[in-house]
Amino acid sequence: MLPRSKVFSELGNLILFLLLEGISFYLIITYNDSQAKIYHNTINVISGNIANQASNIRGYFSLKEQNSILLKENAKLKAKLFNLAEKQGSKPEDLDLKFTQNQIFNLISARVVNNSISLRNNFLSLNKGRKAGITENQGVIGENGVIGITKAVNDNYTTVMSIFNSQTKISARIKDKGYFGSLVWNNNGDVRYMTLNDIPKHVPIKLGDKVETSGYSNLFPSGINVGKIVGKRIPPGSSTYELKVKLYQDMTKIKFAYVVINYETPALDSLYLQTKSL
Amino acid sequence: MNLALLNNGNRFIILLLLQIIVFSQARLGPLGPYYIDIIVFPLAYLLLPFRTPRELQFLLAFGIGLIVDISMQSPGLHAGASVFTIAVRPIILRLLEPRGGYDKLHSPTLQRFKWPWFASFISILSFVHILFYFSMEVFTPLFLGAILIKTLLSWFVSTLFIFLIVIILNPLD
Repeated sequence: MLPRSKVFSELGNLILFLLLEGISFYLIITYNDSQAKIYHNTINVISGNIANQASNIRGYFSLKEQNSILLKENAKLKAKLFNLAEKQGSKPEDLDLKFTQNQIFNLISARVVNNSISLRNNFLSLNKGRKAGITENQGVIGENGVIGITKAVNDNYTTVMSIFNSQTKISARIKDKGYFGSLVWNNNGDVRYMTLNDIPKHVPIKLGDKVETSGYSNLFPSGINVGKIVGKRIPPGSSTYELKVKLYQDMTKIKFAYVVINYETPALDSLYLQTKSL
Repeated sequence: MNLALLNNGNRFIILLLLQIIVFSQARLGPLGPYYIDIIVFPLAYLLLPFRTPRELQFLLAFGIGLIVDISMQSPGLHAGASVFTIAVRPIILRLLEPRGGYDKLHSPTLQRFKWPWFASFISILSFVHILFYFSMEVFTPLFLGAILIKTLLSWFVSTLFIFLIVIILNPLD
């Protein structure tokens, strides 16, 4: 047998060592819950600062565009307020929305400082964290739809599991018809479309039907427009549709996001735990 | 050669079974959060013959670690610790090198070495494995105290059990 070159053997061993440790590390942060959280948190702290600075600078270049988007949204909300006031027959500022006693949802606005869309499991970072009242497992929405679910939070930053993540599942329904299913991303790299599953095949579905959040997961309020149906298909042997949904939200351009605080979540969670222990 | 293969193969299987069926079932916790894990399977890869190719050492350590991980639902923890420990083994062997060096054909067993040598060899490397394991389990240097306490407790108990196994089974080359 020929003697192997010493350099190759040592270099090969080093590469093998690093490869195996790399696999172990990947397994650790992928399949162990607490380690995964700590990992994302740490990455948050490190990259949050850098990304925040970069986003600060980038922000100047799109000020005009962002301004007009926010103005439009403001106008839309104002119009809704006036309509509501008209119905109740009072001035907008006298409207009694009973926010103090019955408020279920609150929104916290935040800037998106980091965003990935090209991976299999994508994440975003927001420039607000625990200090602003954000915790794990809260919904995040944008101007035109759903963005994701908060995954790890530290004092000043939040990592959000994007809707373009294989673990994200969002409860959604067909507008005006009420049938609900779960909205997932099928990892095909195309960030314009998602797939709505679990709608029974006897439901009449038309292309162009609108899809909105169902509100069943208590992460998101019901009725947030998500997208419209552009393709339908029943996989062979299946009793449910596989619907192709075109998103209203352009995830490649988001700069702002709102974290949804649901004041009923603790109560619902404890109820759920009670049911589970029965 | 065939005998070494047979001995090591048996060792891997017996230690895997012992680890999974017996020792992994008992997580001793007399001290509240500072529980003790009894980890004996590193003995299997630590006793590999000196002449075993490095690549094979890495792969075997990774493999046995991964199997234990799957049974303990801790993917990556033992696999990473095993690969790290087998990587450290030559350094420890160099530190403990007896006068006259090692015989390439031998394994680091009691058959070839005296108790003081064998005890230091096993206890140092099982400490490395267990320290790496708990570092990855706690996963943040913020709880360095917890890592060290768990490591020391588990290391002490695990090493005792490893010696017990060695005395009972008397592994050969």
